[in-house]
Amino acid sequence: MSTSGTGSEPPCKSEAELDLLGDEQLLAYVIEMREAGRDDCLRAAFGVLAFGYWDFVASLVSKKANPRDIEDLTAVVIESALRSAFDGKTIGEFVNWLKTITARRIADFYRTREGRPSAEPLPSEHAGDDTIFANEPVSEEEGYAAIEIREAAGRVLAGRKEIHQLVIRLTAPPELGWGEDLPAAEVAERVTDTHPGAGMTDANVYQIWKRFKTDLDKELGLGGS
Amino acid sequence: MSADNPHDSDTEGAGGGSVEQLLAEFRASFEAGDRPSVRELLDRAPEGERQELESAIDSFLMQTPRRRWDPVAYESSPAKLSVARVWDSLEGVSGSWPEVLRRLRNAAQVDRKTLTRRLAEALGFSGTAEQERVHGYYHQMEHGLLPAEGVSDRVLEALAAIIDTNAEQLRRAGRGVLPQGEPGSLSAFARTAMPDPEYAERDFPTRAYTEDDSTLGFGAQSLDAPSPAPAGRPRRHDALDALFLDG
Repeated sequence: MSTSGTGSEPPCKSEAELDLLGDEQLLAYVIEMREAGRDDCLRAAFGVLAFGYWDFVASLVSKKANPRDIEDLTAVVIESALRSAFDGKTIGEFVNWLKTITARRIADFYRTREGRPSAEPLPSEHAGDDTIFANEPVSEEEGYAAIEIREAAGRVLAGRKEIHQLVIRLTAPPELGWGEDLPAAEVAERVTDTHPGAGMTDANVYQIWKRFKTDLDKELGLGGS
Repeated sequence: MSADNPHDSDTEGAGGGSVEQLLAEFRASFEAGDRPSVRELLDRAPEGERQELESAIDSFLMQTPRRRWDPVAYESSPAKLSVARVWDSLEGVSGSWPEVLRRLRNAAQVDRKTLTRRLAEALGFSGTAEQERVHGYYHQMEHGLLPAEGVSDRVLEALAAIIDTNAEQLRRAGRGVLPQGEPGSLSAFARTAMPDPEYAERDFPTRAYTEDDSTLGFGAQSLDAPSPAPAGRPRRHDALDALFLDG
């Protein structure tokens, strides 16, 4: 059952209604509700996305991760994806974006673990023992979709003026290879530090990012969102 | 490729199988919601055919529609816990603390009561009443209810020492910036999709908490309890409050 908003606010859709939407429509709904100030509508959309893609992500993770890490890494990927959806930072088709985030998070996970002392031997110390799964840093096998996204992002970024490039770099998710994934308020603060006369605000940051993302989606053949 | 019949040819060895068989096995298991291990299947494939199987599984996954909504299955799923963590972070005033603190605390294998007792002691408070107030403030941090800018560096430094991170990471998380793989962050950050019940909280029973907290394993726990400032008993804003509220 839909939940009506007050006045002219758009109504919330139920999980059952959201389940009928395709990924792009679902992500567009998240952005639409955020822009309308209806954050209360988003939890159902998050539920549909998280539930709908949990097993997909777990399968991707299970290719590379130690079995005991699969559930935890899947949660990290899903939570990153939900944040991307909330921030309007998903790029390209959602399944490709999930695949990109998954590869990135697995690489981060094992790279970080490498920097910490561990009581457990690495798999290379078990040469010949097939029961030991890869628990060492993995290469960033992010596939053609991720490479395509990065290259397209680079092309679109290159066409922006310098201050907008800075905003986009600070805002972009790390999956692009150069993004710092900062919240809009922090981006505005950082840009104001280096460009005091620019008058950068959270709203400016959001608009600059939104235009970049629209052009990037077009560059990727999705026609923008 | 006869992916529909997993048993229509000889297997390649004990527990092995052809690409077609293994793909069919994966499909059947995935569609049944069993979360099969791709790695395990790849290991069972003939050595020269693993890449073919991996591509076939990838292709299947990329073409398979999102799992249909199932409210009953969702209730007990880890997906619901992930949504709860993200939701607390987004809706609260504590940045990413609801996601980060719960994960790090569980990774450090310390229950909330023990953590807050150690935190109180590190801050110089040894009395039971003071420890309960520290517990109340920490509870608010984990649920996105305590403004991050009000929490002092001293608290974050003491907390960081307990949950094996650093104060700067916690400060950044409080501003909504999630750790991105720096040492001391993500490997621990990714250890707690399903919190170990051993480290869930069992103390401070008050009114029944919302659906989310109960599924997170925090037992009978209220969003606003234990209260750092018990209702009906006005109390002066003291040094302990200042550590959590005045930045």
